[in-house]
Amino acid sequence: MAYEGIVIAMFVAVLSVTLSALGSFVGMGMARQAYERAVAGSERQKKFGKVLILQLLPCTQSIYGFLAMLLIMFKVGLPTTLKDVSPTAGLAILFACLPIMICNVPSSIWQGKLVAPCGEFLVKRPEKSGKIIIFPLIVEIYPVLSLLATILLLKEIPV
Amino acid sequence: MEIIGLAIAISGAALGATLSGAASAIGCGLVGQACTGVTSEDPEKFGALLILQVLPGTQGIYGFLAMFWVMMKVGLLATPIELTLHQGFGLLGACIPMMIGNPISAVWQGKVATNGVALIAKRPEELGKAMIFAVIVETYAVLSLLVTILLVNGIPVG
Repeated sequence: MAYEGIVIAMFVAVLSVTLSALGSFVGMGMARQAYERAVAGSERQKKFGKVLILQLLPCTQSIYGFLAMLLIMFKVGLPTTLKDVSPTAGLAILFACLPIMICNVPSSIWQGKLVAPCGEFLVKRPEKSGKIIIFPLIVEIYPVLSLLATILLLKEIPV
Repeated sequence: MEIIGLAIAISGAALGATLSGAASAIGCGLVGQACTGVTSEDPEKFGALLILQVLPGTQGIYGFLAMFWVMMKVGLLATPIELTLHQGFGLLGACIPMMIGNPISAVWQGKVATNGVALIAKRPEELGKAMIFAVIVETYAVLSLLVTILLVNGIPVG
């Protein structure tokens, strides 16, 4: 049994979860930093719950990356018995995961940039918080689409 | 079953969807930054600003649509058909408009729509004019999608 295909698939799985997590990490950091600058301590504590939700928005991308990793693992039979994956199939898995690897990073960073001014808004006008959260949510469409693309492309690759 | 052709076709479809989606995320982010600023001053303008923010978002949808087109072509939605390496590269080449034309237009549309946000902030009644400048950029994204669909249709497979 050859392991090249499995190695490529594992590499892809690790890369997709790492890159997504890295993007989320930067996005969340940006969201927090800018918010800290904008708002004083006592005000911040009052709005803790809502601001936490805002800060968690750039975090979803890393969860999608993790989901993609699980999908690849099930595809090559990692949890139970390994399937015989040819190097070409490994390559196909690599290409199918490009959406998760590439799209998640800029989208979470830009979502982080969008979330930052929202925190300030939340403190100034708490009654309109439903509106402001829509702007970063629009950016969320693309990580969801890329996860969907990866799922669809992975599904029928013959291994 | 030899699947190298299929793998190359998947790379084209995936890259087209990815790069378009990433560029759309950047475009929506650019406009969104201006939108959050204006909304915090005047929440009444929210509706008009939202329209401007979703304009650079269409490119991501086009990339996704092109991906579906390629997937239908190679039978990835049901049972994959056998492709030669050359057919795979043909499909990869057909997706190039989605990798270059679409992302660039998404980012620039974002920049134009950001200026549209400034226009709305000063004159809320001029939403139509602010949209038209951004929609002109949309033409080239639509043309890219059209080119990809026509090229994919023309490649003989199976």
